[in-house]
Amino acid sequence: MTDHPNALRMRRAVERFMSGDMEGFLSNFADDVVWRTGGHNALTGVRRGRDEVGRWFRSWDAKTGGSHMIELVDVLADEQHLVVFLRIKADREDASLNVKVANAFRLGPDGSWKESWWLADDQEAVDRFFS
Amino acid sequence: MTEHPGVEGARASIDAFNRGDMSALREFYADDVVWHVGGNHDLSGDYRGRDELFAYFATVREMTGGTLTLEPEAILTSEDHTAIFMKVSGERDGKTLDVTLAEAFTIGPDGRWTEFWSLADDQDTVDAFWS
Repeated sequence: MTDHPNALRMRRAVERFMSGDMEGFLSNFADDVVWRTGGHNALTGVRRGRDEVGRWFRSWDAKTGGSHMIELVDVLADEQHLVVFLRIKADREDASLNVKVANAFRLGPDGSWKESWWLADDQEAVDRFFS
Repeated sequence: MTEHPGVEGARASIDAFNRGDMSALREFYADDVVWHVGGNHDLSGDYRGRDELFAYFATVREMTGGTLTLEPEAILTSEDHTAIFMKVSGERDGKTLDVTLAEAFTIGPDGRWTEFWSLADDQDTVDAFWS
């Protein structure tokens, strides 16, 4: 399951995101993707469609001042489902973040990302950082 | 094809939950398990240690009069992690719950589960149900 083609696609996508290839990264989302973010912060809520999701990731980028480091810890996938575990670190002048996140995805027939929701091991730290 | 032990364990734990066999369920969790529940409802937050976790399970069962039922949709696993996508349904004070949860967990060295993320696809519905 960790070497499923959908898992390999996620590994490549995280590499693209980290190398600054935002368009390449966003191309993995389905046109009508639903992206859900919990918590109480500026990024919380539901974003629909690839354009809105793109804006969400650009505001993420802006909030971290581009300082974030995302390490893929593990990825599990079958034809229709995927869960990726990520270590996310970010530093800003006034705050820093270091959390482990579980991110669940429902996949489309072509392996694209149709719906996603995620949760951090320390939600309060995420809320403080992105408030 | 023989199922991966992680998949068998996940399935057995769901069966134990559904039939209310808490002593069988306890065996799956490490003593110092940490359980993260997302959302903004009365049960959101972190539960630390098996006793806290099982007090939480007892509360959940009590609040729903034992109607809460888990139906696995997909189980994914690797050496270190397992994820279960499941339909969760239940009733409480005339309210009904019908959502998909992704439960993602870390497997400790002895095979017991050490850290859990419980992620709901439709957090607003979950919040309304438990509040």
